Amino acid sequence: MSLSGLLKTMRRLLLVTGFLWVLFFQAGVAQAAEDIALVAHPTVPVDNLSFVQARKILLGNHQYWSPDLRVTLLIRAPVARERDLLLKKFYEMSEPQFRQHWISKIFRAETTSGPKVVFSSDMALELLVLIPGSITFVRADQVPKGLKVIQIDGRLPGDPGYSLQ
Amino acid sequence: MKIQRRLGLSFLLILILYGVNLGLYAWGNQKRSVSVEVLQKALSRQVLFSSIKQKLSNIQKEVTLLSQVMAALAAEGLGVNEIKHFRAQTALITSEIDKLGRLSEAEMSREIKSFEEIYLGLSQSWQIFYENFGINHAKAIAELAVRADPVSTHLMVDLLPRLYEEEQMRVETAVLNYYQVEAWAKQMTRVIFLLTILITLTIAFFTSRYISLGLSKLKEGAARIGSGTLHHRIDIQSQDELGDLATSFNEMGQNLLSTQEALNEAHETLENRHQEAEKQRQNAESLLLNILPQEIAQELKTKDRVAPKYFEDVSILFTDFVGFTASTEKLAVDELVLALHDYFTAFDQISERYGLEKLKTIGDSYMCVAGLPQRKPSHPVDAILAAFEMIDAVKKRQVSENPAQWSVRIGIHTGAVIAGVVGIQKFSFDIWGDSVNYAKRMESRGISDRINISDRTYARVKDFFACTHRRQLSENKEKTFEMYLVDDILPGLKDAQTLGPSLAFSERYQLYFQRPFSSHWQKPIKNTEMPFES
Repeated sequence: MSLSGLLKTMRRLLLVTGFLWVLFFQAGVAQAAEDIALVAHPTVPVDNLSFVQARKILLGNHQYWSPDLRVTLLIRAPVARERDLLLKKFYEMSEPQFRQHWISKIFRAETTSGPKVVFSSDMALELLVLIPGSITFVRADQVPKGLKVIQIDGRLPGDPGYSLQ
Repeated sequence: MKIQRRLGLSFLLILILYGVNLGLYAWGNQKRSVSVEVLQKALSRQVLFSSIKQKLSNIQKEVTLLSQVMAALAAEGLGVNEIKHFRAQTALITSEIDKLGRLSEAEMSREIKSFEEIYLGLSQSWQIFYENFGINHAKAIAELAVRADPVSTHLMVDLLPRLYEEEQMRVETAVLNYYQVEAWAKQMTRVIFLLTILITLTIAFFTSRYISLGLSKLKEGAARIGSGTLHHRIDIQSQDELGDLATSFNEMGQNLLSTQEALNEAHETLENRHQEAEKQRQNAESLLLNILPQEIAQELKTKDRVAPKYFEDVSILFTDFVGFTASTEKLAVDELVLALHDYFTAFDQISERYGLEKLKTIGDSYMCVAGLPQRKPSHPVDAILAAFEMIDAVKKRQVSENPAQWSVRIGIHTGAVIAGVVGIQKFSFDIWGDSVNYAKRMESRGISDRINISDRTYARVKDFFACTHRRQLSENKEKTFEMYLVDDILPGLKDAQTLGPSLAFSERYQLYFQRPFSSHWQKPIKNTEMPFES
């Protein structure tokens, strides 16, 4: 084979590899963009939560990060995908069950504040910045740079086996 | 201390105790009122705490539910009514906190003030939440999450429960204090009441005992003084009324004793004088009786005078010693008087035994009368019996040792006489009448140691005595005296042993004169058996 042929072959290989890389990379990027990220205020003192820990926090069983720092849940209003995914994956409840859970908790005085409903990801992110100790769930591609994304079981959105896909 | 003062002080002490009791009761009531007031305030605060807590909890729940559950339903914000209702609730809570502050004490008030300030901040946050809810939702949630939730949690979880707990402790303390005050006041009231009763009883016991003992001593002392034990003294040394009374009693006793001693002395003096007077009176009476019959003397004493009395039937007895004139030449005067005294004393005794009344002696002549002043029909017999004994008495003295050996003539006549007292200084009871002269004649015409009686006398005694008739002419030969010499008692009436009246004599005497015969007869004694008493 001639050098030019070799170069052509290598060029083709590169093209195929690049195509394949682009193909696979773009698919991975698209998958990562559809994952729901657990975003936290910078004051939140953890970077990684187990699924169980995260579930306890979401159920209101853990209400404080530290003695001076409350957990504030910012949850999207019904119909939003983030909410549906949250109810399905963590709460394992339907919408009425979720509502009843918090009403009961409030009336049993097991908590003084429940999750705060937000109507959009922007609102969630806006409040997240404002409220120390707050966490919210937004699509991973909507997370602005600089915000703290907490790992679940050591995985970030886009990672294989991530809980909120 | 005077009893009045003691009683007054005791009464004052009891009053003070009652006053203390009353004061304690009032103090207890006041403390109870304060306790009740504190308790009421505490309870009111507790109610307010509960109410505030409940309202805060309600709002918090409402806010929490709104923020998480109802948010989707209120996308266009809350209505005017909801906001108005929220404001009314917060205003009500503010009002109740204000009221709580007013009901609280200074220390608590500061905490309430702090609580109010925190609540006001919370209220503003909630208001921002309500006003922005559904409109500027992010602001509402941010306000809620950043400010309201931590504050409300602090209020509901920390501050309010702590205040409520403190208030609960205050209520418990107030209740405990109330019961303590109640119990203490009751206990003290009981103690003072019992103390009052005890002191009252003690005072009553000792006072009554003291007065009773004192009065008993006074009563006993008065009784003893009253019964005559005037030297008795009441032993009460106290300086009170009882002591004064005892002193008065003792002084009275001393005065009575002095008076009694003086009275005794006066009585003794009077008694001596009385005895002396009595002695003098008896002497006088004796003297009077010597010269007057008892009845006459009595009449003279009572009436100062004696009315002349007529006695139609008496026996007059005269004696006259034979040999007296011769003796006057032989004997000294005092011997003579002594001898006369001896004879007449014997005659007096005999006259007295037989109830004859001696009238007088004239020289050696002795005159007595039977049958007066008490009238008795036996007087002639009595006179003769007495005459027999007079002769015996004279005979007894006819012994050699006697320098005045006389015999005696006795004459008796029975008849009427007038009797009376003459004179005002030297009384003299005497009788007057022919019978007296006749009796004198019977004596002068008699025989030595014999009894010469008149025929009238004889007529009265002939059933008792044996007599020998005699007859004599008067000096002028114009009148004849029929006389009898009494020989002896009739043989049938004479006792063989005593030679005096026998039982038959006595029976006859009683039959004739209707009166018992009391024999005064004394057995004649031979001259040798009777020593002469000069």
